[in-house]
Amino acid sequence: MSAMFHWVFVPLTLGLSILVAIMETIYLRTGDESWKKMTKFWAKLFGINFAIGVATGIILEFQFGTNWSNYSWFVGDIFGAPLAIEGIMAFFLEATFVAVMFFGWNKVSKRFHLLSTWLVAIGANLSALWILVANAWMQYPVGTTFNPMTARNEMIDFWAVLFSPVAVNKFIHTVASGFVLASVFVVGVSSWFLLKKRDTLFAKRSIVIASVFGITTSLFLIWSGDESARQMADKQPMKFAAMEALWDGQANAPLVVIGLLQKPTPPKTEGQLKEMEFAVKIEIPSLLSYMTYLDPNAYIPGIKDLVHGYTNPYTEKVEISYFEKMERGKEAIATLRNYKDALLREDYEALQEHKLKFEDPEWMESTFRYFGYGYYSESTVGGLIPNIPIAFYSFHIMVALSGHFLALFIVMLVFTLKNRIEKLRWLLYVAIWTIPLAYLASQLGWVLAEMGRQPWVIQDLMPSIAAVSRVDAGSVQLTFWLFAITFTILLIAEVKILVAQIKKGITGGH
Amino acid sequence: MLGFALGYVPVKFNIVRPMNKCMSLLRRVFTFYLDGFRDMPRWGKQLWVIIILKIFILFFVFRLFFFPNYLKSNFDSDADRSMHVIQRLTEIIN
Repeated sequence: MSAMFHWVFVPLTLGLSILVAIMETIYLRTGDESWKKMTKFWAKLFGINFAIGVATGIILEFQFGTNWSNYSWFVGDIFGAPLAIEGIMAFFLEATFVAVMFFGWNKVSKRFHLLSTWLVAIGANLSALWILVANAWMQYPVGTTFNPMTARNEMIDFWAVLFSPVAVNKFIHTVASGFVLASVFVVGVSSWFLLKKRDTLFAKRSIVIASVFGITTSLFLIWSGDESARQMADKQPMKFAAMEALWDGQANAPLVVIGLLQKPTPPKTEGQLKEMEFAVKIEIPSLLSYMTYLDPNAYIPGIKDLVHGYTNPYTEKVEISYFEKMERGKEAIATLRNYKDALLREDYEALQEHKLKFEDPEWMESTFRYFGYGYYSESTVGGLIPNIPIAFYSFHIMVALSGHFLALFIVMLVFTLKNRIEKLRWLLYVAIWTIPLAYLASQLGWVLAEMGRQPWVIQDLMPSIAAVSRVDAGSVQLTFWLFAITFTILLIAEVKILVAQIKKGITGGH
Repeated sequence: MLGFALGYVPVKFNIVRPMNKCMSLLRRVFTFYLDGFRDMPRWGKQLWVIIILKIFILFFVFRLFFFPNYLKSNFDSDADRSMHVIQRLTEIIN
């Protein structure tokens, strides 16, 4: 919830900074003062949103230390290094050049001002890179090794962490989603001006710039989303099966375009899975197989296959069951416990024996990589399956909304260029109401990413139940609601400022 | 005074001019920020008040009273913290 609150502000900052930089570049190239006014207006809204978002992310860092102490200790420097780089980069690039961006009009040269605006945009987007790298490591832990002495993961290959395929793709997809949201915001706010018949040239120009930017970045969003799903099928197959609500694996797997899930069937025996069937669905045959492996005959494992183990009939690859993974996980946990006991007894011979296991790449790959499964048993295997309705609906609604945004950008661009946009009032209303939908889609993306990977805090290594501190639930609730209430009050004050500035328009205010 | 004295010292590199340049740059940067804040519109000042309030609440209320670092406040050394985490990670097997 805290992360979702923080994410309300970030995407607009990422996208609007680039749009402002593009507008200022046009101003410098044309020398047309109306472009300067336009740049200043959108820069003002960027500044307000930037201020609203300030410090909302810091609460997460506090929560790691208080509520998630096992987790924050276990991840070691994997989080520390990227977050430190983010902090330094954000401070020097953003804090320094944001001042030039807002205070520097008529005080520094036009070129230096433009450079500052671009550096703010690049800095904001690059600082997002580091937190996304840390998040990607949680989804696909690479470039690290576990030290049983400290109970921490240690980075052995910084570049493997930075350039992990999941990190690269996550960065492109997340940033592109911010660009699309900002484009929707600019199109929506400009539509409001057209409805009010105010600053119409400015509004139309803004729609053209934002629509072109929105179309371009939507294509990146779709491409990176497609790539994300493929990576998920390979690295987080349970999340992939959950977002498609695919219980039984199959070759020629269909893609569900629209579906409504029934209530789960109650399990008849202990440990049986609570299955959920579709009440209605519209699907395209073989498309899921094709989109995942570029082969309509490819086999896609379902939730039950992953739990019980399966042999892929197409590749003949054998995937072990969750029950086998639980056994291996228990062995890994027992080895760590024996290591600790040997350390306490000062039995150095036994200590060395256990330590050698953690240094053996084969044991680490075959046993330790399933460490987190050791917290589950046959009766609790359902805990290894994410919430299916949340994963399914968040994914499908997000994809449907992305299509809506792309269609909106194309239609808005065409009618603006034809100079007919002002007559289509219904379209202007649609554009305004698409702003909250863009925020919804953006949040749903993170819901899928974070809820879809449950129960893992770190994929296969650490489930949520092992990550938390020994603090009572009441204290966690109290701190969360304190944060939510205080910051929502401040948010209301800030949004009022934002709305007031939009209402003043391009000619009002400073 | 220092500049006056150094000006009469026959040294190869004159450090007075770079120092003056540096001071002048710092003064210009300071003036730049000062003017920026002084000329800021009302909504900008309101935002700054909210930002400062937010940071105060975060660091001086939440951090101090509601978000103690669990491992730092309960254990004295990293060795103790490691041992505690290993203990917790290995005790919750079903």
